[in-house]
Amino acid sequence: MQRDRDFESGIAVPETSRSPASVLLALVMLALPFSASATLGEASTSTEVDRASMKATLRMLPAVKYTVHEIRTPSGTALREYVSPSGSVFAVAWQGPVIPDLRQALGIYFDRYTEAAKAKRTGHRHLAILQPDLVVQSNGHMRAFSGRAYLPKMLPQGVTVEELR
Amino acid sequence: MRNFASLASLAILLLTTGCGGGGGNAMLATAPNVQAITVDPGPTNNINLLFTTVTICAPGNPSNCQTIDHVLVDTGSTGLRILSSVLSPSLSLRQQTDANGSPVAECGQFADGYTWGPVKLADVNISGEQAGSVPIQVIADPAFSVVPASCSAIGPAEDSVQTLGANGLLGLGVFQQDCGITCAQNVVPGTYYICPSTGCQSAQADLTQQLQNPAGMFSVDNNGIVIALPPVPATGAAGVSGYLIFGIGTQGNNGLGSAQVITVDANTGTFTTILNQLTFSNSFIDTGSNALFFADANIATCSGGAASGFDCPASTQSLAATIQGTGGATSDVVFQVANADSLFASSPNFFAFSNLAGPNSDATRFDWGLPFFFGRNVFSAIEGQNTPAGPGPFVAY
Repeated sequence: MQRDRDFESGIAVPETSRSPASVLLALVMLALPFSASATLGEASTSTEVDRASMKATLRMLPAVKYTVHEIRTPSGTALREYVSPSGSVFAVAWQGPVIPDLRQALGIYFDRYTEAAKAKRTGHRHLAILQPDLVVQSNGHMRAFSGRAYLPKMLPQGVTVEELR
Repeated sequence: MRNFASLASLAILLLTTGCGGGGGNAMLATAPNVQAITVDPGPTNNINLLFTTVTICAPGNPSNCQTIDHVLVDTGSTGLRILSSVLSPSLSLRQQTDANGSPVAECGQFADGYTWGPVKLADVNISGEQAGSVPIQVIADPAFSVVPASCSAIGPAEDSVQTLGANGLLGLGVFQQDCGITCAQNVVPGTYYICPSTGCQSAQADLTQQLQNPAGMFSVDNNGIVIALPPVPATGAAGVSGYLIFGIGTQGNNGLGSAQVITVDANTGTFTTILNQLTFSNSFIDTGSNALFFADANIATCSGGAASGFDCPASTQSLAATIQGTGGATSDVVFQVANADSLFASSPNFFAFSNLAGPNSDATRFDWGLPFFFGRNVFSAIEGQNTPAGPGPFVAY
């Protein structure tokens, strides 16, 4: 019997905390040009590629431990790409009425995501792929989606998973 | 058989004021706005999945029909979607077209993947209710075999009974269209497409072209639905039988009675849940989720195996949450979270569980899945439709 309707488990992650309000207050709209690109696991020179392909607007949100590149598509979905001090994208997170282009956002990890999802799936409101070096968590329903993908081994020191949203 | 024992209590549960108190289940089962629904193993031997049977016909041709069983009843989505593989070749549905006559296709978005296929028109018959020329999706139609890259970019394909977990989805959420104004005003990659002979491309889709909530297109009883399911014991049940009732306050069997109305966000369909002083601002009630999914640092998740993805507290937790509508109305909900490992081990042949929960990676979401529905009448009012409690969208229970 197949019991695993939802696959979120394995990593005990307290989900109740919020990133400090001060981080949000520090978010500043910066002017382009902006030579970054952002695809998971790649250098921060891919954000512009993503922005252009999604016909989106872009703003940079500097925080203490990383920089957030936020792409907002015309449909209202926000894609946030988390760039480490060393310049690599260690996480992406999305929120909005539709799911963004995850092939673009996840880059070389996209095929691993879809393959792993095929192997164990069923619940239509949740999906979680938990691997030692790749986590993808997708939630919600049409008009209200959210999710994130991150590389656990590339999280900068002091960054908690709860901040990635 | 626990499901039959549970059924007896349903007569008390249901609001049968129009039956003079003597009609009971027999009256319900034969009322034209009442459809049988069941929780059973389904085609993929899974748990807490709610199914019903739907008949679809070629538009205007009641002699060209097909009845499809094990369609998942899903209040978390909108629109009827049927797998091409279960459709009879002799069923001739009409292709939906845009203003220029180009075929319309859709990439249905779900958190766990996409459904790709043409939008077709069908007459939909459920119980005694009928809706004509309803835009539905035919999933994985071989005539539309090339999945646009912008559709497959959102995740894995749900293109088979195995991946969908059902023969189709009957989306009966609070919205009349699945995407709505977002797709009517914008070209949104990964949603609607037009498919002229040169190939499919992303396109805007008028509200009337989009997949529709069939319940909102019935000629009567079209302002919402009621899901009525009996209680399920703490140890689970082999299966459950209940009723999907169309209309809210339109007949003697679908009155709101003392149900608490919880208004939901008109854009997202969500409301607020408060549990242990934590606020989950993006909460929803969903028959398409097979457990209660919410983040709780005090509840251990199962370590793996059959219960992977569910909660495994050391002992059953009894919790009290407050649901708050966007209009401010509140309602307290008491629920239990049992150890999924223990439940499955002690009841290996049961497929309905009322105390099953699981973690949620989004701390703003409380997903009140199918366990919430056991032992309740849950109303879901469609956006823009009038009811005795005012216009939808809202849920009530």
